[in-house]
Amino acid sequence: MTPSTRNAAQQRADQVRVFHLELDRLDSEGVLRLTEEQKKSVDAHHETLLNQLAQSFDIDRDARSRQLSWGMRIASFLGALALAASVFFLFRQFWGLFSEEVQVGILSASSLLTLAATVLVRARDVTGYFTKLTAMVAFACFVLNVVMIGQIYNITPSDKAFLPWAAYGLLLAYLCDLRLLLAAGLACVIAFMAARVGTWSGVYWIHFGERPENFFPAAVVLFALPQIIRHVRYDQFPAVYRLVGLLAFFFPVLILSHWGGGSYLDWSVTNIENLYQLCGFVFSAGAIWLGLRMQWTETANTGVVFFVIFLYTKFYDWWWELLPKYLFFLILGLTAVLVLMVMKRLRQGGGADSEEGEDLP
Amino acid sequence: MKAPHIPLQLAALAVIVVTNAVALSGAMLNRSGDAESQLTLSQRELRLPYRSFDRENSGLALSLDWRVLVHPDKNVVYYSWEYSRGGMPEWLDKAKMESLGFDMSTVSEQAGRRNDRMLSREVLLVLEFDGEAYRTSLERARQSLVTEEEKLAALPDSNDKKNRLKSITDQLTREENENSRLFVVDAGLSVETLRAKYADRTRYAIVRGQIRPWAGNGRGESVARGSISSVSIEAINVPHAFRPLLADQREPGQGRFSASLSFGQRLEPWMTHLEVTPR
Repeated sequence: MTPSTRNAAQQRADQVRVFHLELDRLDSEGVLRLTEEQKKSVDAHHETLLNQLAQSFDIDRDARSRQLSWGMRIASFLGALALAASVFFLFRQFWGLFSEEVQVGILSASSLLTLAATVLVRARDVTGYFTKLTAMVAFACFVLNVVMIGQIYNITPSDKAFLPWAAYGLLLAYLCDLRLLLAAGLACVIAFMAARVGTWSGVYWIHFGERPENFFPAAVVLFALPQIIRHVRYDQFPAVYRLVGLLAFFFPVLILSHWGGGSYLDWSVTNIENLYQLCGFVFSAGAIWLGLRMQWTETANTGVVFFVIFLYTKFYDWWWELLPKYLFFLILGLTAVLVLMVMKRLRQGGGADSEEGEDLP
Repeated sequence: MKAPHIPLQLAALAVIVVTNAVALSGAMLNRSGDAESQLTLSQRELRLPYRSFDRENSGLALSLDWRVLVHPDKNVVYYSWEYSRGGMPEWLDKAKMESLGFDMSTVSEQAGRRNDRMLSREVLLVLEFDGEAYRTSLERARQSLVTEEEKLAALPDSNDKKNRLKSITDQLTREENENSRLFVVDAGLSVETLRAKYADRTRYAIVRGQIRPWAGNGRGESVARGSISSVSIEAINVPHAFRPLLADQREPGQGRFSASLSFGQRLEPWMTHLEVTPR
């Protein structure tokens, strides 16, 4: 079956590469030896397959090209950030020289032209790196477009600006299959939802960040969304939704576990902080369990990271003043060893489970 | 060649077009018809930015410098500043805060301990230009000077009193010639109600702003009242046509000018006239 996404194509190519390595090993150990005719047939089949995949998805055919493509990925990310900053500073440098009408024309045109450039580059760019670059610049141009029109006409700042930014970021992400823009779009969704939740309690929208609980509804929605909406053609997107959702949940919990005064709850500050410390441990452990069970790597890893952060901050509260520093850090080190052992046990258990699972018809 | 995803492309295009259309039509709506109010301010109320720190920005925005008339007795309300933005005006007491929709029943209990729970809300603020609030402030500065002169007369050799008198004299000079004459004098929730009370549209402008509850101790007892945090639009873009007039003025206080600000249907300001006045 022909893979439908770059990720699936890469997985298929990796399987072919591993198959050939194993076949060579079996051959050298005398376990399995294919006839010349069989070898030629398999090689020809895989060569054709890899050529097709390379043509359609620009896959990495070997370890060297994989390393290079990581480098290209980083270069395109940094390049995109630099180009976006360049657009911003270019406009600031010269916008005062033009009348308001021309300024608006330049801003709108920059959004439209960069969108057109993204569409053109996407159609021709098999690698996707140049598409990412142009799409990021297009997104930056649109953000700049809205911000500057607000400044030119002295428009009252509003949380509603997050809506078109979110929509545009998500559309570009789905158009170009870009996780970075998906994360940017989802960050705008989170900001908008948190601001709305804040305004329901009468608070001016710009203070939405001062009530960390405002982020919880958005966190839950984003985490659950990939379970409701299937991403057949965008197989790497569900992980981004879950990761962004988890970050939007765990960061507020971490903040509230040390700053109970920021909560909506009408309890004493100590009780609120204790509650959120408990939530931090319970939910990060839950994320590890869920991640391992569902084979969601990002969920399990995020759970581990936050579990350790909650643990370390608690150790700090308890022992930083009390213990000599060498002992404090020794406890941290030993805890890390303990976490590693637990994770190793879990991994072994998970491996046995998955092997059992694979035996099932 | 990849699948074109035409619906996504069209949707992205629509987002750009619709967003620009909404933003621009909102700005046009604000400026349509007669202005809700129009103030003629000077360099005292519209401060130039320190442009030498931002050489790469060719645009120019003036910052609206507003004040509040604070209680004359500093022991009554802490954290008030007389000569810059923000602060706790005398009129923004507990009853006024309740009339603006704040639940002040628990605020006094929260003094000190849970002040971080009290966040700003958006209300309408009345800006008064060169009116009663400024005259009161000026009178207080003059009265201060008289009081210090009397104190110095009683203790003519006191260096402290001499220094204090100099400081008060400078303060009065600044109040007469440099400090902003734009004061926030009232707050409300309805433009109509406020306009009925402040009918002069060339002296009173209604704008959006943020008020925050405050709790603290004054004269040893718990006090709950309000503090004005900000006015929603404090940076006023200088239109391209007026920019050359301010080209030589690189720092605040360098030159003198008068500028007309109109506040439109959405209470958003824009500059309609600017004139540089020679010193």
